[in-house]
Amino acid sequence: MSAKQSSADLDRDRDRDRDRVREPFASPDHQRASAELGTWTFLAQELVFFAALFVWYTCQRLRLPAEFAAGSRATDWLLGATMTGLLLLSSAAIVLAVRFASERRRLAGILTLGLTMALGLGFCGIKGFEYHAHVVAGETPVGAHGRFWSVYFVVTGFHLAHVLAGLGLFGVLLIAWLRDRLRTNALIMAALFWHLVDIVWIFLFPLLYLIDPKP
Amino acid sequence: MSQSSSSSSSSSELGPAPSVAATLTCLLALLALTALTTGLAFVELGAGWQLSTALTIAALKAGLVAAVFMHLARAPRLTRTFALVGVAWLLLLLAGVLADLTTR
Repeated sequence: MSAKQSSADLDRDRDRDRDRVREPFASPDHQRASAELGTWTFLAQELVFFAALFVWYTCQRLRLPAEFAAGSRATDWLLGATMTGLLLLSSAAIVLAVRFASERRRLAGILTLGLTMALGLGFCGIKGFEYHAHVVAGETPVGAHGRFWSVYFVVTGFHLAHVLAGLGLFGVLLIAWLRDRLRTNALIMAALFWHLVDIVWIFLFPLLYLIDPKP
Repeated sequence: MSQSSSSSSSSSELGPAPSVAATLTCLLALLALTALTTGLAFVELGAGWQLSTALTIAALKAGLVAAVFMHLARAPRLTRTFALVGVAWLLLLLAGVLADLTTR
């Protein structure tokens, strides 16, 4: 009876371990490598999605170099650089959160995940401020240099949607972590997605804000 | 059993993420490259050089994020292949469109 009891306890302990190896995986490494490979497959198709936007940008910029330079001059390079810094800091913070998750350092992990989200929200706040300022100034797809602003709003809009999706994922994972139900692999997968969103912005920053910022 | 213990030891050797020192070093390099690309935008280089320098620095930054933050440098070969194939599709599409646009 007591042996049966302890076996039930063992089962319960194993079920509580969110990082336990599940079917059909052979080991923690196997499980993690599969999660990462699946995520990279998803990221490769995300690259193809953004490729369409970058090709559109390339066509328009080659056709309308003066319009793109003039439109870019109306963007605030300092805000663009600040947003780049925020995303880079958030990427570093989520790397640390993943590390803390695998070391089972819950408090440090929750704090760094919270920091990642705060930095991401800072990015969204600045982006919202910029959109508002551009619309108020008439810098829209139907105003002067409209073809630049068309590309600007669509490309940064899709990027912003990805930032918001990443923040949503992190929010779910933060709640799970607070309830001590975090799966480390889920955090690793969300972090990979976040880094890709960061990489897309690394290219958007010079392509949109720094075409010709000289006064 | 021996297989499972050897795989768990390799897991701890591999590590789940880069070390704190590697993460912060990479972050500093990324911030420095951001400052560099911003500063160079104000230097008179000519439009062509301006664009190619900015894209080179962006590619370097993306490489750092992928290799260190995304752990690609230490990922299994198959994972690295998947990542490179994604970049290859992007470059193929851009190269095709650029070839068309610049030759007529």
